Amino acid sequence: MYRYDEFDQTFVAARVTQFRDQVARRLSGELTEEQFRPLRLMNGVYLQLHAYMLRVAIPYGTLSSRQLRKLAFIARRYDKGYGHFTTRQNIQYNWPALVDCPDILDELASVEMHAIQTSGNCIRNVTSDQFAGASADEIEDPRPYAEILRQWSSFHPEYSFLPRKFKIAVNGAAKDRAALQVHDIGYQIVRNSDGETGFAVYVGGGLGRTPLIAHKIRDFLPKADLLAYTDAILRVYNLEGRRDNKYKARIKILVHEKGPDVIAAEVEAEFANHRDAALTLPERDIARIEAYFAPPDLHARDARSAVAEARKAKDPAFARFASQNVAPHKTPGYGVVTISLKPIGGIPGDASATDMEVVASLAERFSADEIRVAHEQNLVLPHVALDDLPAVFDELAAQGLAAANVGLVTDIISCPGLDFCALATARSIPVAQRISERFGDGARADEIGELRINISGCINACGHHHVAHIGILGLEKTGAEAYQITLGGSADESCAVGSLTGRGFSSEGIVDAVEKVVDTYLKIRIGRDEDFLDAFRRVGMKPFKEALYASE
Amino acid sequence: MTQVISANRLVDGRVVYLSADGSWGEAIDAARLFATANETEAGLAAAQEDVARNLIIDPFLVGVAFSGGLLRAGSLRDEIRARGPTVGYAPTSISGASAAKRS
Ligand code: SF4
Repeated sequence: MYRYDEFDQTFVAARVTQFRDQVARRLSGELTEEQFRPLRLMNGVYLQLHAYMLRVAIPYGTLSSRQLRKLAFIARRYDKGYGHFTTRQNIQYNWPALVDCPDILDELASVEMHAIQTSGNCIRNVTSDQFAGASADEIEDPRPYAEILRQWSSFHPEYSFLPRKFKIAVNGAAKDRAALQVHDIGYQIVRNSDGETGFAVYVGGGLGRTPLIAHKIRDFLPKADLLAYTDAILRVYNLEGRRDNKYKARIKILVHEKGPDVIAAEVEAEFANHRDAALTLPERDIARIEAYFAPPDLHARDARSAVAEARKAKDPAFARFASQNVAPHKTPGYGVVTISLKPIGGIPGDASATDMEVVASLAERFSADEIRVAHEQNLVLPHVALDDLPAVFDELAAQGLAAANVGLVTDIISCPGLDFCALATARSIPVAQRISERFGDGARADEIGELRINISGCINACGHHHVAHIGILGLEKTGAEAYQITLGGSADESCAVGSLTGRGFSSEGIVDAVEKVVDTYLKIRIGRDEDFLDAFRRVGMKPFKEALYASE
Repeated sequence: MTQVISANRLVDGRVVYLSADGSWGEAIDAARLFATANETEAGLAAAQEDVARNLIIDPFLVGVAFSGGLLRAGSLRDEIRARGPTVGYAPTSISGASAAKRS
């Protein structure tokens, strides 16, 4: 893992001291709320419906046990004993007092964490594949590049006041687990015909009010040019982004309005001008950062674990967990274990302080001290020996953390919605809970197979509803909650924005409507191998519309 | 329409209501009711003074009505602000009722 050097440590500490002073000045009245608001936002402190909310950055979703324990400590000491993991691989605390925020930031700094650039019109936390450095299908670990981007973009003077927020993701496997194409910039690690690795560059994706898929503007960018090229994109955006209209200020609108070819040409021209300047990455610098992410020392084991196989044979719950929540690791005899934060009827992404401590302890003993946060709001133990899987499962089950539903209908992404969020138009968590309870954790969910349901409580789309197989958007209609459904979206390499089924549904009707969609899929699919997305792409909207609006 | 004045407390952000004695409390049921335009105006002016005294932020009017013996806010948003999240978010509720379902 990356460790702070003296420079990082000094600058994070200085920022906490500065914020402590700002909070004191606000409380004494020296600063008005108007003056203070941008300062607190720069430190991740929002004001939500019921209280302040603190958003803590988890760079590319990677945590050590020590860090996760600290997050648990903060949850218990300064909040209500839990935290909420978000679709940007961050954690949010929903109840911190403003007076406590400087102390919380001090605690975070002691484990090399902070809340800088988790808000505002700057470059936000760089996200990545939660299986990075572990997954069998990986071309190269994307995290060193995410870290290089993080260092470069932190407090970057030219990019601290962009037209709008800016999100970058890096993915290193053929399978896109980082939702690259809905980011402002997505870097996909690829191998060219000479066997060198570099990046395919996607620009101009984003969700929200105007969902747009990114365009590929370059097939291959040498690694040494990562910063020079990012700089070129940001310069073009900073200059031309629509500062006159908040709703048109993201780079996706610029790319859409001018056309990807025009933007690509402008970026290439800017890049050509600056290419050999100070931003070219020397190989030794890349190597220095890469060293922090060196694979853990996993000794080779038999690809097939006799211990795990024996347990599977006699314990169906374990067998289900092993097949649903464990992905292939690049080292034989190991697996990548996803810990679902989606218990049936639970709140997606919430983890209690004790949950976090249990996971931290497991990571320490069984996963080379590493934990990952997935943008699907789950946690991951990236390096678990298959021989240890029964022990890991047992401890997870004892804490109620062994839901074997990763990728299934109940593995729902949900934003906080109107229960917490000041911008919301409808609740999202209760809808997620009811859908989860409707489908449950039995044979029915297994029979349905892979299915992604995402829910947002307003048009800002933090719940990524546009790119779900079944997306749900909560709105307000004449004083009541109303929910629209979109179908056929996808966040992976076949990225697509879902299409609206038609008129929306009431809060009472939405779960039945989702069930009708699922039942229709089960009826029309060719076989179990045809997942929801494939079936939808084959037959289109018609049968789903008929089922939903038959009585009209 | 009957209204109450709500805000967030500066020090911890919690939802508060202006009560009859001029203090800010967390219970909507103890909030002072404003019935006329003159009263509301005076109430908002008092709230602005408390903004200036760094006690609260963002005061605003909330339409209310009595229903089932309780003071109810007119919109779902304000009702959730008044009564808290509609979901069992605190870990006690997780380890209690739904713990059995979690694995
Ligand atoms: S989608 Fe809307 S309701 Fe949900 S977290 Fe984002 S801003 Fe809040």
